[in-house]
Amino acid sequence: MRRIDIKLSLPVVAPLLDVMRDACSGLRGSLASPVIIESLDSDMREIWAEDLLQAQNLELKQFLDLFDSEFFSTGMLRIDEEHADVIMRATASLRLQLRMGALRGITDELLEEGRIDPEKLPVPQQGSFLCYIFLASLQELMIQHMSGDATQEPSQEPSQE
Amino acid sequence: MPDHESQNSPQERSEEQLALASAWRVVVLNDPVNLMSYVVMVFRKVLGFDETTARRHMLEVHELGRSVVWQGGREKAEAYAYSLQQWHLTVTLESDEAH
Repeated sequence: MRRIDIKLSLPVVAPLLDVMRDACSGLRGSLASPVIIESLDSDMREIWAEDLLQAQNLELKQFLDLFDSEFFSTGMLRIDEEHADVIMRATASLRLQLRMGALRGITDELLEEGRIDPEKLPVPQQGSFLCYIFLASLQELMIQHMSGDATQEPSQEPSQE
Repeated sequence: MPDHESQNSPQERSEEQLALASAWRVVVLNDPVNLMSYVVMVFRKVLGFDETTARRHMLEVHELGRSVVWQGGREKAEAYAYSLQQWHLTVTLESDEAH
C-alpha cells in the first residue's frame, strides 16, 4: 500500500489548525458544495444532501485526526492510500469553506495568480489565506504521489426508502 | 382504461426507451476554488477518463464555465452526479425535456 509521509514545520502549521477547526465547525451543518440539481424532487434532494453532509463530516473528522500526538511531536503527517481519497475530499471542502467565508472579499484573479502578500491582508484573513494555500499544497502533493491510474465505479445513489 | 404505452408497437416502445435513456446530461460547472489537477483527478477516478480526456473537460469547465462530462440514462446520470458531488464539484443535470 502506498503511503505519503509529509514532514511539516510545526511552528508554521500548528497555528493553522485553529483555522481548520473553525472551518470544519462551519461545515458541520452545511455542504461545501450545495446540491443544485433542479431535476431532483425535493425529497430526493434532501436525501442526497443528508447523505453528502454525513460523508463530509466523516471526511473532516478523519482529516483532523491526522494531526495527532505524533504530528505534534515530530511534525509528521502520514497519509496512506486507503484514506487518501477521504483526505483529498476534506481538503477540497475546507478550501471551499475558506473561500466562501473568510476569503470572500478577495478576487478570484488574485487568489489564482497567488499575487497576495499575506502580511498585507487584515490579520483575521492571514491565517485563512495561509491555510488555503497549505491545503492546496497538500492536495498537489497527494495528487502527485497517489492519484495513479485507478478509477472508481460511480457510487450508488442514496436509497429513497 | 388502456394505457397509452400498451398501444405502441414494440419497435416504437424501444425507440421511446432509447430516447429517454440518452436524454440526461451530467454537467460540471466552474468553481473558483478546486485546483485544475484536482478536477482532472476526480474526472479520472469518477468517470474513468484517460488523462487527455480529463484535461480536455477540465479546460472546458475552466474556460467555458461548464462541461458535459457524461450523457445517457437518468439513473446513471444521477449516480455520476452524486459521485462528483461527493468530491465537492459543482454539478447539475440537464435533460432534453427541460428545453
